[in-house]
Amino acid sequence: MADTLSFDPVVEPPEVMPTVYGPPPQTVRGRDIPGLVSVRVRDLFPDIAAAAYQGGTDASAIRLATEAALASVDMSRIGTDDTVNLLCSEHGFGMLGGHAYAEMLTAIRDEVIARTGAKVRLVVIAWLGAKEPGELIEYYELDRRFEGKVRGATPMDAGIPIETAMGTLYGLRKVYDADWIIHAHYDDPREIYIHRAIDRITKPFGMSYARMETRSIFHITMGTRSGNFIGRAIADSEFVRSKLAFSATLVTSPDGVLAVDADNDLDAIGTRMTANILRSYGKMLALLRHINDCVAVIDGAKWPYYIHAGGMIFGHLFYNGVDWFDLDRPDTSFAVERAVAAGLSKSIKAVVLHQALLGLNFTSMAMLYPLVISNPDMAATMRHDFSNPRFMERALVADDLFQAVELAKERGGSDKVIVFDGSYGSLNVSPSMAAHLYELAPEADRLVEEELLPKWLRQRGIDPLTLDGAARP
Amino acid sequence: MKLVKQAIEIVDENCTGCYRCDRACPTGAITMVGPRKQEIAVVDNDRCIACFRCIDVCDDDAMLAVERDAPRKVGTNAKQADPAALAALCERAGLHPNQVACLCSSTKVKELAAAALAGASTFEELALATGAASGCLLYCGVPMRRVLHAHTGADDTTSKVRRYDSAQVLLDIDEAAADAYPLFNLRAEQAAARAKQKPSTS
Repeated sequence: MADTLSFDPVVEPPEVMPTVYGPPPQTVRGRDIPGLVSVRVRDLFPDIAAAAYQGGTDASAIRLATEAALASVDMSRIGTDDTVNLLCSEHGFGMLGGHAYAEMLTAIRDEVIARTGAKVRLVVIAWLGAKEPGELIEYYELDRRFEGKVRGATPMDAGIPIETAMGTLYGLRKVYDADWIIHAHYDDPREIYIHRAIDRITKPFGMSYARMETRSIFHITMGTRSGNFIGRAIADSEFVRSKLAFSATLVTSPDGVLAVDADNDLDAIGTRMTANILRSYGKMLALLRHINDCVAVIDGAKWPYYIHAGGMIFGHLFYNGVDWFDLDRPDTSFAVERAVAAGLSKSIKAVVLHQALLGLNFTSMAMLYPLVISNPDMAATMRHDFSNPRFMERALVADDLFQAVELAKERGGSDKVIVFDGSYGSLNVSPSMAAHLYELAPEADRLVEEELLPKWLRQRGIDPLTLDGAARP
Repeated sequence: MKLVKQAIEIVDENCTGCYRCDRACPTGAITMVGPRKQEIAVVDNDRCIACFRCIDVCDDDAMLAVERDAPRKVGTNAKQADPAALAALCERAGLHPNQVACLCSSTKVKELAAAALAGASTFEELALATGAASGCLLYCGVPMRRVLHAHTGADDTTSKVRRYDSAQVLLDIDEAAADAYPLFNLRAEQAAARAKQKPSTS
């Protein structure tokens, strides 16, 4: 039994934004589970780059980083009378509480206006719910930050045809109805099991910025590598190329935000992004893949797959049975839903669902593992989840979080608890999990450093020197 | 197949007649009733598949989800369709019969095809017959369109829900494009897709 005194105390996770798409924010959080400790990702892997920002409302470091990154961006094509749509995607607000992303967006806006005099409008694109963009705009005070020049969009809004190398695809009119667009992104690797870290920078063109039909093409008819062609085909279209002024991105590691990168050249920033994802996240992914057994607690402000622990989303653990970065691995199926099933985790022994959003199908979680819902609010949310109509048939409901965790530990036969609560920099875990992670880290470090990272880079034609490129602070 | 456990109740006094629910409903369960400029929404719960899209788009708290006394089963049994006709329709649609078409309602392509063969000829009828389009909408649009188009030979233009005619699949990408972007593994994945084109409907 690991000694709790030898580890750090739990860290405070980001606040949960109130939303009609989830339960009321829970005052008891995963970090309150008795006996938990925390493990710093840089204690596990000292070469993970140290963050300049790890959360909180003071995001002044992000403003400075954004201004520094934009200094080398050419904005001369943007005229004083031009209109500019600054494009953002909801997941950026799901990282470190969202304040870093909000500050980067605001700093881009201020800099573009200062240098060009153009009219800049923020387009807040959320996934599906009609009320999602409005909630983000209110919570992050985007209306104030953008002096009223902000609007929401969802994939059900009016479309606009875009001629691409794979035929006519549909973007959102609200995204493209300006003289210029600015692609404001983040490099959280998120669904590596679908994008495989081969063209992460263009993904929003086929997803956030696209109509639902285009999203359906991605999800239902393409494979884990070929699907990424959709975003690239749109980004490479004459239409988009004629409007894209420049791109900017939060540069992150599991420790937090390292810097901001920006470039007129989409491909150049994309290559740097890919290199940073492989370098910054590869070791934590290898670590998660070698966990023997665990109980996962879902406690955050997004859909379960997208909630972080130590900068790694739950999906990284859930689908972490294989090395998705390895482009030589034989794909068992071209169909995405079957291909990703090849990576389902065998280490998860039970799941506690404490708080998360509804609307994304995740019934398989309850089918694969003992699943305990920890409070009546979350249970009520799931009873009305249109995307998981049979979820409750397989879930247990506990009276409270602590009872739920004990039940999950008993059902799963594991006392290694890991809490996905939105944290970067550290993971809130049980002492037994902390000890397990420290045991596994040296081999994960060696494996990635000596074998996997050189291979991943070679497979993508990326010069290892890119790792020391401009995206690093 | 979807088990529909809830129904929609409309709070008449809150309804402002904005038509947003009418334009969001995937089965056409909502109609606007009343004199011009005084219409309010009316829901036919026998056509409701509990997607709650109407509740989502309503800004006036006029739509409520209530539990049904007994769940209503929505679905079409693919085994009741003529196997040869089913296989042929799936092939014309360019989709494998056993491919999942809608994760949220657990609907496979063969269920969509069976529903089409049984008479569903619009998005609304297909959704009502299978439960597809009752969830996240991230998956179902393309298979629904391709099955409908393969069956009727025409695009459904009657839908009140905004839709666009775009339903490409992997095999639609031409060789020049595939070769221009080798990192996406298009040729290999297309070959895998072709290898699976001779499906079984069991």
